[in-house]
Amino acid sequence: MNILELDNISKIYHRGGWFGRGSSINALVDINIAVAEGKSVGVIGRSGAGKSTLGRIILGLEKPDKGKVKYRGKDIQRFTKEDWKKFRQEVQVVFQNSLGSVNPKWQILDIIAEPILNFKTMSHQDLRKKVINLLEMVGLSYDDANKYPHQFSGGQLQRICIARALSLEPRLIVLDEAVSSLDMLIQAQILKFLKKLQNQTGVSYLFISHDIRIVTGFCDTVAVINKGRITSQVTSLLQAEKSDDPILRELARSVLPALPKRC
Amino acid sequence: MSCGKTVLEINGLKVTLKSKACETKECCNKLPLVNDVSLAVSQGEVTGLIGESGSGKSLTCLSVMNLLPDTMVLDKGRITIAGSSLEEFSLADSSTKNNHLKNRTQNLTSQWRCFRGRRAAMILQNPMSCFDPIFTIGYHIKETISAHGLDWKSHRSKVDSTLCELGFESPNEILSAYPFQLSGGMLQRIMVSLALLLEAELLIADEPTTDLDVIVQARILDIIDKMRKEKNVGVLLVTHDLSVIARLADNVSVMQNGAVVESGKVEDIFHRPKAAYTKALLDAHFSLYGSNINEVLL
Repeated sequence: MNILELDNISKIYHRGGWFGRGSSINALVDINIAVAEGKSVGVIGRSGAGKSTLGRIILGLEKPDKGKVKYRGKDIQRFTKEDWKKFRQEVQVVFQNSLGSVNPKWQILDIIAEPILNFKTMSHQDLRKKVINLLEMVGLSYDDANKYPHQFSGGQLQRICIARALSLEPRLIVLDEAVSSLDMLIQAQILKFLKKLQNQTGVSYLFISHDIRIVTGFCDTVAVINKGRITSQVTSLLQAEKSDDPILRELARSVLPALPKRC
Repeated sequence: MSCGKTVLEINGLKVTLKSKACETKECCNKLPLVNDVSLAVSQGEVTGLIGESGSGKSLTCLSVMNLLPDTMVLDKGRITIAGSSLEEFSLADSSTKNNHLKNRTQNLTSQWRCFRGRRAAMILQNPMSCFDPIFTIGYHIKETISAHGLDWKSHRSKVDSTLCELGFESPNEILSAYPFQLSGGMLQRIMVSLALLLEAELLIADEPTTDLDVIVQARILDIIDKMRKEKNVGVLLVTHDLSVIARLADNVSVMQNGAVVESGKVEDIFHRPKAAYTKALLDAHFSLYGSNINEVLL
């Protein structure tokens, strides 16, 4: 069953127009994507292609100008308060900028506990136990719970954001360039962890990135977006190299070699 | 690949954190940030320096340019550029250490000015922060070349041809643009053009493509490749991405916690890694290709 379906989504941004005619940009045009339960769907494109707008529409942070976002078969525009509550619990997001996604004045314990407290009442001990459990899941330790965000590196903070996203046992996680700015070792570590989690819990991922190597390696299907339109679908790097889609070919061609090639 | 003369040689480099206590007590050796690093870059060759964040890669580069922050001190080691040793630190005599350093630093400041930019150029991770937002690109280029005693008018045609070479079709438009009007990839190419204009023999590229999208990254790496082939520039390439090393480097040094754990030819590092850390890096590198791995290894 599809956990998420995008049905002909279009989004237009307007700009200017105070004194004259403003211009408008078609950020997204007729996007159709379906994410099945327990699967990973990738969205790839160059910067400015509309990838992040898509992520924001899925999360309900922006309204599409046309089309429907269906979560578990129900249009999110017609959600009741109860539906939203469930949606906010089951759909989580991790953004690229980890430092901008956490409150600098809060301890890690409070940061990770915040979503839990929004939905459940828990004793302090239980809460602490749960947070430490989550921290250990992402490879951090219990002493980290009482530290502040500035005491961590970018990679550690990104793992904290992932721990927070996992705190409500979500069914769908939107990863918007979540590993792009990390060091290679940590990228590999996080991707491996996310894959393991998927095998254990059957969570679905919508993986937004510009790195075709990682996306095709991680996801089951990948949609290529260019100028707001889905231009093609791929499943592997090899297929991408042979594609008819010029954008896809260019993305595949600029993948750097895994091994040194001597001439 | 041509085996030219050595442009840069680093021997036993050690960088430590300077603290107040260090001046009175002898505890300078407590915190080596970079410890006993030795490497060499030859003309027309690329030496890669790889390691995770915080392993001391960037500090090694900054030491070469004598641009270490005030809180750190180059404790030991010898850096030789194009055969002439610009600095030699032998600080065995700790009583005269501070005076010794101060005098040396003053004497060498002017020498460093000539050297930086002219013979060795550096490109950094975030090109946006390397430009002053209130001046045009043309002004930046003019300032740089006049700081090195070159005349703007007589070099004008060279500026145009260098910019064309780097893929800017109309140099005039670029020269009158402000830094914020250009993209990260374009600014990075401007940085490279400054190095080319001054005919630097050594290019230090510290994570030159980390913030850029994949297509732009491939383009910048092509340019660096062209520079070393056509202009015989020696390149010290710092990165955390093994695929950048695979694309460009001839020799590789692997750094961990401030020390070089392994160095050698790029093929040896990829096919016959010795250190456990190098093996872990390679594992991580291959796992990023995920299910594509069999295809890319063919």
